[in-house]
Amino acid sequence: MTNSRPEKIVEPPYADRPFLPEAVFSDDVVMVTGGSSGMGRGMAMAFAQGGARVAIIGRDIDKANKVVAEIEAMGETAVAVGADVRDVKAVATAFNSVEGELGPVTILANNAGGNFPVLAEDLSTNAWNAITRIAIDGTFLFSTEFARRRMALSAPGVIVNNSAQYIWTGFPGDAHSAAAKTAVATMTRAMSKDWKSHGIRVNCVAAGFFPHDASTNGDDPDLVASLGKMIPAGRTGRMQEFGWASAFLCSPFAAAITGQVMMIDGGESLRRALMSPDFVAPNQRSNVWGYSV
Amino acid sequence: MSRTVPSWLADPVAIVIGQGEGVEAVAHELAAAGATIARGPIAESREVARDAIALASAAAKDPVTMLVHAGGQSNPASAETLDIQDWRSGLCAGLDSRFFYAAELAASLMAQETTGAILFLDLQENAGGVMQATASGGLGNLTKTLAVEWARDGIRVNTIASRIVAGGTKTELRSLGALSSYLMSDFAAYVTGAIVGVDD
Repeated sequence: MTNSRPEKIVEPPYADRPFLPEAVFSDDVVMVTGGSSGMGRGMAMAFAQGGARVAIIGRDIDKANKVVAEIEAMGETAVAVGADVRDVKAVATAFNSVEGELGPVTILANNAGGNFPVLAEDLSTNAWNAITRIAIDGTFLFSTEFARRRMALSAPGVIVNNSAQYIWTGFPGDAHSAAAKTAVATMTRAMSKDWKSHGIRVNCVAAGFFPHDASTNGDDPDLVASLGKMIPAGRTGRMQEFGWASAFLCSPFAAAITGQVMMIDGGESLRRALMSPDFVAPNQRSNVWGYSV
Repeated sequence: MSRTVPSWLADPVAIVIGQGEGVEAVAHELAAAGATIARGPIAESREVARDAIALASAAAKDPVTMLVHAGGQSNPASAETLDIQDWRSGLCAGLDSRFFYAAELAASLMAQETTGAILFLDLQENAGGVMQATASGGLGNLTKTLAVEWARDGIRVNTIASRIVAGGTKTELRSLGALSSYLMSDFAAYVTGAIVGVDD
């Protein structure tokens, strides 16, 4: 039996509505890797909204400086540092540079990542290494450097990692990121155990589709609206929701929360039906991430 | 910093089922966030749940739009020592009653053409005993199923599975309450079908 009723698609509050108290991060220095664009920028803005001093780490210093200017326009403090998150020496240099300007980093947000559709058999060594190591090694290097510095000060700290909605299901046509993003989630759990006794919390936000200017078709509002229809919630994610989820996990309200992987995807990863269109192998599809010929 | 969460909720009525330190902490924090709290019994049928929701709505003078449902006491007894009454009682509190309330609340929200949120509070699957393990498995996949079935109705369904639901330190209980309030609020409008812990 079926019934028909009007759809209710719930939007979040507007980005400028305060979520956490105004000064919740006023004693914090937050380092955001991959903070120059997209989801990293979304996290950076949420921390700035809570009064944090923010360090934007990006490979492109000009883009990082643009986010710094946005945060300064909010009346908050931010700095930009250029670094490749896979470069061991660059990691320590980035921390030294940020801590010289803003003081010790108290919250780390690991966002640096990359992704593109590709058939596994066409994935080159370089492409595999790039996508997996930015996420896996980048998160490992920044997190361990952060933890050593917090332990040296006998001070607590918080880490939030950016993962993806497809981490528990696999993602055909995305072998590099499918492996890398689940590795980040399970790394989160292990690090939370390693550092619990030091008061360092480690959590992860597993995000669905949050379009932004730099994502595929993210700058086309009509296309974004139509893509929203494929998601159970009836829309794509709004960047402020992703920022809020991350900020909540790093806030004092979440003081006991650690080792968690929180899915925020509007039900996208759970969408399935017993009766589906014929399976088309990724190499037969017009769009590797689509489902049809 | 303020002791409780900000006013994340716009004066909804939440019906809260179950007992224990965890659910009390959640009720406290939901009230601080702006909810009116009503209580209901573990339901052995949809009819019992329907009556409890109606009673709560009448008492609060506004329809119930939110449900928080905790399970029963965990029972570590070895499986072969449980009789059918123990077994049924545990499964009713851990699984059946949750479904009955969720289905009745969803039907009521659909009839009123309004939106709502559901939160199940559970222990971890391995918290102890075969009833806990059985009910937790069922509840986890029920959460994911209902979340998708009702996503386009603006009804979200999430589960917090944590040892802290059974009790914890003040900080742990406050984090449980804050996480619950966040998940029930529109700030978490894109979180549905999620199963998250506190420190587990």
